[in-house]
Amino acid sequence: MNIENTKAQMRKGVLEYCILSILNGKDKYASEILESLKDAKLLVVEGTIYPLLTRLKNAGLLAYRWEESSAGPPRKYYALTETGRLFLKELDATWNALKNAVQLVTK
Amino acid sequence: MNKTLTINLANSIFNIDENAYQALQRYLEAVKKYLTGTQGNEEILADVEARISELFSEKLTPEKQVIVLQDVEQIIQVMGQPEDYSIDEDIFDEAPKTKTSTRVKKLYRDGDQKLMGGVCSGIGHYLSIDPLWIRLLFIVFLFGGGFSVITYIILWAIVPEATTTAQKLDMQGEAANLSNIEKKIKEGFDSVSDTVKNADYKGVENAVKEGGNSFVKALGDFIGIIFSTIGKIISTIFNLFGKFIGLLLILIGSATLLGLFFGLFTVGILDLSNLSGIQFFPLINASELPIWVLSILLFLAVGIPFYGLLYVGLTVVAKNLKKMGNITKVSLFSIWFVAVGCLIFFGIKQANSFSVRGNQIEQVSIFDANNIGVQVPDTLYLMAKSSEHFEYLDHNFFDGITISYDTNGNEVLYSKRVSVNIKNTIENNISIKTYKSAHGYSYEDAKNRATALSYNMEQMGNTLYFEDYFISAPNQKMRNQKIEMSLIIPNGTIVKIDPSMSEIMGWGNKNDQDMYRKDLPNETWRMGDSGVLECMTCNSSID
Repeated sequence: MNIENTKAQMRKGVLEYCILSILNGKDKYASEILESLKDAKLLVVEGTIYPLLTRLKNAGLLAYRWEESSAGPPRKYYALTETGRLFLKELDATWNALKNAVQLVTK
Repeated sequence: MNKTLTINLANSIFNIDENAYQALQRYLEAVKKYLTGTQGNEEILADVEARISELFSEKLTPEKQVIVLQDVEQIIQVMGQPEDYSIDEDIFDEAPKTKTSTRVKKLYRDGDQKLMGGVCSGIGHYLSIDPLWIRLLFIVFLFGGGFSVITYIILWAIVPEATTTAQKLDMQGEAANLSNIEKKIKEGFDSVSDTVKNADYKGVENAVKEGGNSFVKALGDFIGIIFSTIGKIISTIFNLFGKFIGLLLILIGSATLLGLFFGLFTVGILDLSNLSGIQFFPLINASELPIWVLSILLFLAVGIPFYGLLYVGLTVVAKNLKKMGNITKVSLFSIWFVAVGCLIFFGIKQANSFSVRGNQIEQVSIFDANNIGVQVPDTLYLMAKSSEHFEYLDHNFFDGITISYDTNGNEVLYSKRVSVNIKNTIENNISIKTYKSAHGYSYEDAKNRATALSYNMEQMGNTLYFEDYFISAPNQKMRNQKIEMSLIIPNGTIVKIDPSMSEIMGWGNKNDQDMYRKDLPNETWRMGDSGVLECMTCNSSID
């Protein structure tokens, strides 16, 4: 059992939830999402996020639009869809329950 | 100093060092391969490229205008290895992937487990067997004519060594078996259907609403999508056919090279002069070239094109082969050209040496009624005489001619191409006309060669003895030499032919029984007025 593997799997498990949370209330482009995740030390390498974003978009939880940027080429801004918002709400509840459960067990 | 390239990464222009470019390309290729089969992989890749482009921009300052290898390496650290792009199936299983790994095995040389060049261990990885067996196979073939040495050197030269991690993973990836080939086909079609699914239909729709020029542009884009989709389908199909044809080319190329190698090099260089038929070579050869030179010329002239075939096949099947350098190409072509030129030159010389037939005719009178005291006999006995010496030698004839040894042990050209035809004359004398003929590059050459033939016949009483062979000097070479004789006898002469004559009775003997020339000796004949032999002992009821 590799400890790094286990850690990575844990992080990957909550990643989807975190991305949705980051986009809750504010549209962001990929690099901004990356910033937030890296600040929170949830992400070790950036590559992981792109397949996830595409997944969430294909699942109808996210949508994107192109926006001009002063600094360079246009950026892809991601936003939660209505489905995404409902999905997030449900995940919130699950996460809280899970958090409490883990706290109880590990106390 | 470094060569730089200009690249377009997500619509931004960057100047990038050549080695940095290669590293980046390898990285993107590896990621792409890793994502094959994942839904929306093209979109993901575009996002990744956009992000790398962003990171590149951050690295550039007015003082630093070129992306170097270090930058690319740092960015790869930030972005992660291809494996980091995978989505864990256990967690996200709502759209399960159709396969577990996308890594397709490639042939590389294994520098970590090498004894010499890592060829055997590389093949071992490719076939998923212990390299020990491959090495044993090479050693076994080493004793079978040294073919494995050449194979090894060729493979060493054209198969690249696995240096990067991605290459090493490719080297040890999935075995190239049937189920994986099937998978590959599926992936090809998946990527096509992916393109269709992810096409920017929305964009087309919006553009239609906006109307005007942008509609034309959108229509253009749409047509572009259709064409690129068709293109992808075609290239997928061609890819598969190509692999098959590639395999075929490899088979043909290597089999021919192998055959040539054994056929020519062993004969020519190892000088297997005891090989049946090889002793005739100097007799036929007009070029005065030693046989090994001719062998090498032939090997190059035929082998180089087949090496080319083999190489093309290899590049089709294994895309990561080293490219053949221009110098190699040009020199191979020049060598081939020279070899073919030489062969054509000597071929013409060879053909020329047979171009003209020349002959030498002698007529000897045996019984002439005009000479005093000569009685022309009514009955003639014909007998053939074989050489007592040559008959005991075991002969291997080539075109009726062979090399033999006389009683002193010297080489002589020995042939049994002798024939006798019986003709008639109204005069009262018996004579023999001898046509000696041979081929040569000129009439003079041919005539000299014909004159050099040594042949004898004897007369004792009314019996004529014909030798059934002639000899000549070996340096006269085999040039279609032969001796045809006409025995000219008066009408009404009776001829008794000994069975020993059957081998040398010519095709020109006409007889009233339509008998085969070799059957003539069994009967007694009388020369008719029209030059046709009339059978005296035949049972007329045969008719």
